[in-house]
Amino acid sequence: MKTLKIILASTLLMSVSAMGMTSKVKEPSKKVYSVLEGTTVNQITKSGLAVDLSYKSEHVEVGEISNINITLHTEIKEGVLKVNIRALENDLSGIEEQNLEFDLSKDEKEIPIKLQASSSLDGIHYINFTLSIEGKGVRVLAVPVNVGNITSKIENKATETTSKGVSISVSSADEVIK
Amino acid sequence: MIFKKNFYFLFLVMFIFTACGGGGGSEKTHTTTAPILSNHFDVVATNAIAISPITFANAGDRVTSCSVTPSLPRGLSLQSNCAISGTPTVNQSVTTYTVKGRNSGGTDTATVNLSVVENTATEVTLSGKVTYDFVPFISGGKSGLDYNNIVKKPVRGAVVEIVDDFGQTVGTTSTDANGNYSFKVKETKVKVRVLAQLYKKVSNGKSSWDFQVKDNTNSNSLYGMEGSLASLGSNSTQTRNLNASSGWTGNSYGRTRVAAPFAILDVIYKAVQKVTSAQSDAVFDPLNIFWSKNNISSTSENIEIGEIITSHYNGTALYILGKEDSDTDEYDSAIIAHEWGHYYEAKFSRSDSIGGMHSGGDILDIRIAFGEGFGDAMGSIINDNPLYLDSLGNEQSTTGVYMDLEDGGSGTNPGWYSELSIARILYDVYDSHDDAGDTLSLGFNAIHKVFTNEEKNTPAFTSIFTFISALKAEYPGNDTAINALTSNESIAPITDIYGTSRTNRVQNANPLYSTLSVGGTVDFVTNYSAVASAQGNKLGAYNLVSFTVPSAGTYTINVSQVGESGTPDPDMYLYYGSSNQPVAVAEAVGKTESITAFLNAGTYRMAVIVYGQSSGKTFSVTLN
Repeated sequence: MKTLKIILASTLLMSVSAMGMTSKVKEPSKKVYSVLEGTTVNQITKSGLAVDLSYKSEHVEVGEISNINITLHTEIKEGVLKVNIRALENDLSGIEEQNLEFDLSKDEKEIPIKLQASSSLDGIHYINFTLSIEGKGVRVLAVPVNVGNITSKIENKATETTSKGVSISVSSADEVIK
Repeated sequence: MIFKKNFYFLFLVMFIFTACGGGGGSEKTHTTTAPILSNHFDVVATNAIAISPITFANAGDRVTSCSVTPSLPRGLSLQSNCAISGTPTVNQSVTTYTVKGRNSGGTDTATVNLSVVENTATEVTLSGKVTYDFVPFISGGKSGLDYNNIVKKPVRGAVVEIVDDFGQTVGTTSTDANGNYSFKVKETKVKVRVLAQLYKKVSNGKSSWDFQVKDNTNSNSLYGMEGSLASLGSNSTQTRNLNASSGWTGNSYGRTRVAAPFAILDVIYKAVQKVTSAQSDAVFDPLNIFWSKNNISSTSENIEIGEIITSHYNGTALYILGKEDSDTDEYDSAIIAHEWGHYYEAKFSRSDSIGGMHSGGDILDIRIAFGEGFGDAMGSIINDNPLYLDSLGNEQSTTGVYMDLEDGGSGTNPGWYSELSIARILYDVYDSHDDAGDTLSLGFNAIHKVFTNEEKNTPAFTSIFTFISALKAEYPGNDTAINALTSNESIAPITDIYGTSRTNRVQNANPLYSTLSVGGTVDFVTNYSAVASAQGNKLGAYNLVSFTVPSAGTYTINVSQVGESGTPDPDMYLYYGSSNQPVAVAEAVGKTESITAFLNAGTYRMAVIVYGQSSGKTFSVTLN
């Protein structure tokens, strides 16, 4: 795990610094199926740290490198924003767990972070961002990275239909019969 | 009958032969073959025991409709494919029943000799207790979940089914307040199934509800757990206790998380108890609560794969996080209760909240401050616990949100724009524990009364001002105690629903509401330097206006900048009555906006926001 303290002098510096955190992989010509994007701005949220996240990530083939652009948005102007970044299920190459720190006393409301990742496995992989500011709370947000065939993302147990026609997903209980 | 079947077989063979030999390039057509039904062997059914469905072998094409003579014994029914199923409820001597199956090719008949005999089996009282593993927070609440101290809690109010060895549900009941259930059973082999569902059927003048916890990543199926299909034995009683396991195996959820849906259900059980204690005939709209181990805190929404943004109520259903090592909420009782509180607010009252990112110390638009503050308060009220906790992170070992609603006055930026201040005020109105600044103990009755009456119908936007004004009106004689509560959160005594004497900025003294009259003008000055951006949900981003139309007619509302600078883009949202949906909207791109609409006599409220503009600019709103 790495820990870096980054004083936000400019968004360019931020971008470069964050890029420096990732494994450098030579990027050959590749097929990009699409670019995923999303944002929490103006979305409903539960109480927590008031920091939004927007992202764009490339849907690439297995083994190809996806460029992932993250922007953190906040109106908080004091304290240090700590950002823990890790692959949620250790299935992404190039995303070593890392901790970044951003001084919010500067008048910056947007913080860009650039990442690169690849995977040898088809599916949707998540990069987990844990955002925290001392005394203001914590929020977790996940960014998807689509790799190859993503149709088999969810492996589900079979459902059954009761004699009343209700579709149910039943698990075994721990049972004691006396 | 045997001769008849052989005849049909011969005919069928000839038909097939002819068809195969046809060849010659003519277009193939399919002629429907009439049903060719075989008789069923004799069946002896037992009264009050579900039968294994009686089906008739068919060598022809599919039967599309069927009839039977004479009428089947009560409790049995005929399906369109001629199958007979159900649970007979009367004894019946041996009778030959003839079914007649039909399709477009013709008809055929078959018979079954069926009798129903007295059930001489000993009736067994099958009872037991249903529990689930509940994972508490580590003592103190600041270090996430405590898997070393999992406790078994009763599954309360859940639907329990008895299922026989044919898969038929032969009995249904609900667990009581201690998780106990009981059945009288005559079958010999059954299993007990518990559904993640609270259900009380609709009955005129009485309370009713239907809350179901479902898997949004698995065809929206209802969660359940069940025991084994086992003999009831030879005694008159049998006990079967069921427990839903957490699935925790030391450092991860290594097994199925059976308990999670029941942990969620139990919070809702408490919520229902709270509301029905205040209104015994409360009728709850059906609600699905979607939880999945795949539900992740995402930045885009794709419900079927679990990307649900966050735990939330979307106006029709609740979505709850479940992604391990990221953010799970099934054991965060306050979060479940908070989101259920939004459902309650929407169904029993009204919420004007505008949503968006928020936290305890934010200086918020009064609408989201009140909506989220109410949700936070419900998180503690429903659980009767002033600690509002949210676990997350690796192994759920972090407490992401920690709020003590009994710690009044100590938060960052207390005030009428703070969700935390509002949560503390509402919790203190409810609770019976006196603490600094709190001598009120009005219980949930008071909150329910205000929310289902004045708060639902207020002509102003829902806020702490509308709530406190109504509370004072409903509970005269408590003004001093109520003022002490608000004062504890740095809020001067509230005297009306519009927050008169408050300003809509920390800087720049625009009133919280501007009062407009027909033929009049009000001005406001943008100021985003302190706490708000033009696009945000913070105090000052929106400018609130109220006006009264004395008589019905067509009116025009305009907003425009005083003087020209920049490229401002104002938008207007006009509301009326008890609806939280605008009656008119003006949100085109441009320097001015206008609404022309037929308005009934009454009092209106309006929110105006200016995009693309910096602080210090003046805008005018006119009504004609």
